[in-house]
Amino acid sequence: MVNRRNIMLYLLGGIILVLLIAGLMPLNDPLEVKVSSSLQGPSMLNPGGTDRLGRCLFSQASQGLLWSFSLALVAEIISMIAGLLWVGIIRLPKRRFFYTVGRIPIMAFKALPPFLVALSLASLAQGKDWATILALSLFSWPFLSQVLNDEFAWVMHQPHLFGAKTLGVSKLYILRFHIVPIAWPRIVRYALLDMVGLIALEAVFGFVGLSNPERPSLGYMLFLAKDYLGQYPWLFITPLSFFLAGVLTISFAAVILTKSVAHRGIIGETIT
Amino acid sequence: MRWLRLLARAVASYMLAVVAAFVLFYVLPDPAYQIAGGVIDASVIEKTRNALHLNEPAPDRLLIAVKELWSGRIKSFYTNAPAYQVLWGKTLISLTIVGWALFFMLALSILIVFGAFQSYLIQSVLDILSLSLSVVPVFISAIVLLYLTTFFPWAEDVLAGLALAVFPAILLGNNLYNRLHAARRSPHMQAARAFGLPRSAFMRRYIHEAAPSLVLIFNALVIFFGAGLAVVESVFGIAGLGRWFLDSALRLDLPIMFLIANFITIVVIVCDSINTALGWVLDPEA
Repeated sequence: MVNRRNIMLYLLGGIILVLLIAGLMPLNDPLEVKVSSSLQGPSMLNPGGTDRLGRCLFSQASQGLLWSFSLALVAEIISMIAGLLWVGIIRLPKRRFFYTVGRIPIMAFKALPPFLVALSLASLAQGKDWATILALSLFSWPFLSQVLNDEFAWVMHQPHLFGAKTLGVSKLYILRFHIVPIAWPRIVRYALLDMVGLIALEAVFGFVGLSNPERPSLGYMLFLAKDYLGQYPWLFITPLSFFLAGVLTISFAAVILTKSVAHRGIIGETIT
Repeated sequence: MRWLRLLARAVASYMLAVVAAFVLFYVLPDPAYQIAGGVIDASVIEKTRNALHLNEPAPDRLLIAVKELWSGRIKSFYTNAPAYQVLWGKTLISLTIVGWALFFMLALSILIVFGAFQSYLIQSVLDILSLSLSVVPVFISAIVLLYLTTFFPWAEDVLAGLALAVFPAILLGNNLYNRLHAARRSPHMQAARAFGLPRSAFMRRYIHEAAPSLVLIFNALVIFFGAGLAVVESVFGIAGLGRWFLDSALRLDLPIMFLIANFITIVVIVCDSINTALGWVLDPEA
C-alpha cells in the first residue's frame, strides 16, 4: 500500500541517492591540476571535459552540486526550526502583544530586500560556509515563517478542530492527529520549492565570487565559462547540466508530492 | 482607515529596515577588522574604527548614520566621493534596464497567453516550463544572451532587460492563462455570453480576473529585479545600481552598502504599498 509517508520517503530517498551518487562516485580528483590536458572536450576519461588548468569538470560539477545541496538543506532546516519557533512564540501565548512584537523582524526583513541581506552577510564573512548557510537561512526565513504561520492559522480554523476542542480532546492529541497531518504536506512542498531557490541563490553567490574558494562551486564554474561559450561550450554545459538536474529533481519532487496528496483532498490549491 | 494603516505600515517597515541594515552593516561584524584585514597593525584598525565612528555607542552611531544618509553627506569609504551624485546616475542606468525588462516581460507573457489559448501543445509546454525553468537563476539566461550578442549586436541594456524578463514572463504568462481560462469557463461568464452582453463587458471582467495575478507577480518582481539587476549588470558589464552594490559588498564599502540598502528598501516599500492599493482597487474580492 502506497501512502503519503511512503511517497515522501521514496522521493527524499531518490533525491539523496542521486546526489550521493553524483558526489561520491569514484571520479577524478576535482582539484587535481593537469596542465597538459587543459581545455579538452568530453571524453571517456573526462566525461564533462576539462577546464583551463586541466581539472575534470564532471567531478567539479558533481562535487559542487553536492555542496550546494548540503548547504541549502542545512539552511532550510535551520530556517524551518526558526520558523516553527517563531510561530510558537507568537501563537502559543495567545496574547496580541506577542503577535505584534513577533511580526517586527518579519516586517524588517521583508522591507530590507533579502537578497541584499544575504549578499552582505556572505560578503562580510568572505565566503565561509557557515556564513553562506546563515545568509541562505536569513533569505528563506521571513517567507517560510509567514507560510508556516498562515498554514497553522488555516488549519486551526477548520471545523473539526472546534469539534475536537468541544469534546475536550487534549492539545497534544489535536496537534498530533489533527494539525500536523494536514499541515505537513503543504509545508514540505513549500520547503522543497524553497530549497530549489536556495540552491539557485548559492549558485549566485558562487557566480559573484562569494563562495568558499577551497571547494568547487557551480556558480563560479559558470562565471568562468561565460566568456568562452562559443569556443569551449563544455565549460558551460557541464556545470549547467548538473545544476539543472539538481534543481529540477527537487522541484519535480515537490510537484509529485503536491499531486499525490492533492487527489486525496489535502492540497486543493494550485502553486502560486 | 485602511489607507492610513497602509501608510503607518510603510513607515514602520522603513524604520525597522533602517535599524536592521544598521545592525547588519555596522554592529554584527567588526567592519574595521574586516576592511583592514587580520594582518594589519592595530593603528590602522583604530584609524578605520574612527573613520566609521565605530568607537561611539551603537545608538549614537545609528543616529550619525541616519543623519549622514538624509543630509546627503554620506561618502564612499574608499573614494571619499559623495555617494548621492553617483546614486542618481546609476539609478537611471538601472531604471533603463528595468524598463526594458518590464516591456519584454509584458510582451512575452501576452504572446504566451495568446499562444496557450490557440494551441494545446503550447499550453502543455507552458505548464512544463513554468515548473522547471522558473527555478533557473537569471545569470544563466544572461550568459546565453551574452553569447548571442556575438551574433546579434543588440544594445547591452536591452539584452540585460531581456535576460531579466525571460523567466518571470513564463510565470506571469502561465498564471494569467490559468486565471483567464478559469474565468472563461465560470458560470457567470457563460451566462453573460448566453445573454449576449457586449465584448467590452467581458474585457472588463477579464481585467478584473487578471489583476490579482499581475499584483502577485509584480510584488515578486520587486524582489526578483533587486537580485537580478546585480547579476545581469555584472554579466553585461553595465555600471548600474546592482553592480555598484555588488562591488561595494565585495570590497566592504559599508556606507555605500547602507545607502543602497536604504534606497532599495524605500523602493520596495513604495512598490509594495502601490501593489496593495492596486489590489484593493482592481481585485473584486479584496
